[in-house]
Amino acid sequence: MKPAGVLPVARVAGRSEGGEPLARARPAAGALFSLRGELSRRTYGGLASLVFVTLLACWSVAAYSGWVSELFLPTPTRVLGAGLELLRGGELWRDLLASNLRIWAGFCLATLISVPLGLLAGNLRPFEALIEPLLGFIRYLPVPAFIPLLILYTGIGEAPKLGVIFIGAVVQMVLMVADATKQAPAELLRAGLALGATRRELFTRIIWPSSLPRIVDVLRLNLGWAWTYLVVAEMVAATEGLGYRILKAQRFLRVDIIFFYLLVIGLLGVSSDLMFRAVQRRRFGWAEEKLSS
Amino acid sequence: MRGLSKQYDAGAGAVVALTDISFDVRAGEFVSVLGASGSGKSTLLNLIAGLDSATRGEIRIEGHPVSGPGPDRGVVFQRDCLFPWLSVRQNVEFAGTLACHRRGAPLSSQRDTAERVDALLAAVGLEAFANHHPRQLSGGMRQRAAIARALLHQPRMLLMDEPFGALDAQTREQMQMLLMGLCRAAQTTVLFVTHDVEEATFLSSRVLVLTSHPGSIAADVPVGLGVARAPELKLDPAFSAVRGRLMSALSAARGRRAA
Repeated sequence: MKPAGVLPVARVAGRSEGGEPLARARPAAGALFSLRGELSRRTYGGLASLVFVTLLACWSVAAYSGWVSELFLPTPTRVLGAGLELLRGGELWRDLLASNLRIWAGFCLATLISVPLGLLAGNLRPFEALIEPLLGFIRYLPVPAFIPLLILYTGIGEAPKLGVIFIGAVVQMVLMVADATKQAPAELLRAGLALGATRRELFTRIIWPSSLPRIVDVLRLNLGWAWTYLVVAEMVAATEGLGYRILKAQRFLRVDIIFFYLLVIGLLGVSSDLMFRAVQRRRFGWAEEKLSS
Repeated sequence: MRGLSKQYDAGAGAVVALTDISFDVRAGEFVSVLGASGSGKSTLLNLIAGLDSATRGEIRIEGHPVSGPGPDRGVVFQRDCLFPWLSVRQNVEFAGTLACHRRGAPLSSQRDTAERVDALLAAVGLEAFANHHPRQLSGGMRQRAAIARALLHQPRMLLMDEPFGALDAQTREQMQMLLMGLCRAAQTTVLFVTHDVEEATFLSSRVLVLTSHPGSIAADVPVGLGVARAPELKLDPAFSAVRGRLMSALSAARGRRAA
């Protein structure tokens, strides 16, 4: 930004700078652990990969040396071998396709319903009274506990799997979206009113754009949790899918397959997370606050 | 604008913020409302802006009672309150895109609005930053954008709630000069809430001193320092005299509360 004859300005107390470090020092040896200090990308990346490398090293040592029986801990080679085997056999693609279809269908359905409901509950008191106490109760019911009921009601097809993902996601998402829209600053609403906005325009022109980054963040977090529900659902009644394959592998003591699928699920989760983050970075550069992890 | 009179005594539930306040503001006047924190200055401003309703009494602008926000009044808040997802230009033209101003407006008015936005951005010195987002600007620039936004529909009255309170002294002086220039050019009536005696003296043609808890008018002081004012005025003995009067009125108001 060009300096424009305007002097730097003292920040108002209360306009706290979310991610501002307490002491901005170049990362010298002692500054590495400065409270909320900065860390160069390289150091950050280095530390992060160190953890992965260490884990892999421990795993390799324990497995190749035979400290831990191969029945419980397969070697990295065998895990990769299992992956190749499933890739050639076509099971991997079938499982990926089935699981992804389920998760995206359930998640999109949950999004379509929870975003409008959350907007209503977050901004209109009667809707809050109708929605929030009920969901506050339901959210404490463990999602897997619904599986027997869902199977009883809808059989063992796709419906109970979608149902589990949907129930798990929709309850949290309505509450979280409501909360996200409540954070639209009241002072911006007052400014809008003063400029002549109607109630409807306050909704569409101020509340919606101002809470959109947080809503996308809610979607990102919930898609991550949806993977948990998916695998739980597939373990109960399925003929394909990542969860089903893991359960089947246990029956045949194929720990290598279990390991491989765990890695696959982790990678899928990380990549959907990165996708959301990329959208957030591109579209919501204006948002000052840091989003939750 | 012939002259507007406001009369109300507003009590808000358990806490009486303002009580029995009556005053008139004439068209083209620059009136400051001076008071300590908690004197209900902002409440008063919100009432006039139509963002809040009085418990008793009423506010009239040119004879019409105020029942809500309207295009005849522009409001500038303490914090700039710009919409962070919009560019500076989009912020300034925001009011023009709302239904109440689009309704019935001919297509040519869209071009007028665009020209008006350009003129306003130039007037507050932000042409070069039209496509920046608020977070890329300094506090003074943001507040200038907020003023431009409030002026889009040429309101006859500008309501300002400690708009320069968060700025450093030099930026504040620049902003005061800018504001005086803008309002004099457009003959805008200004109601300016502040707790800064010097700022009130420098800007106003008249100052209302408010007591606290509950707020009521303690003194109505005409400033009478002429229309054209430069920063050097602050060194003038006449300026100091008015400032002195306001300060004693302010401390008298405080004393009355203690009694």
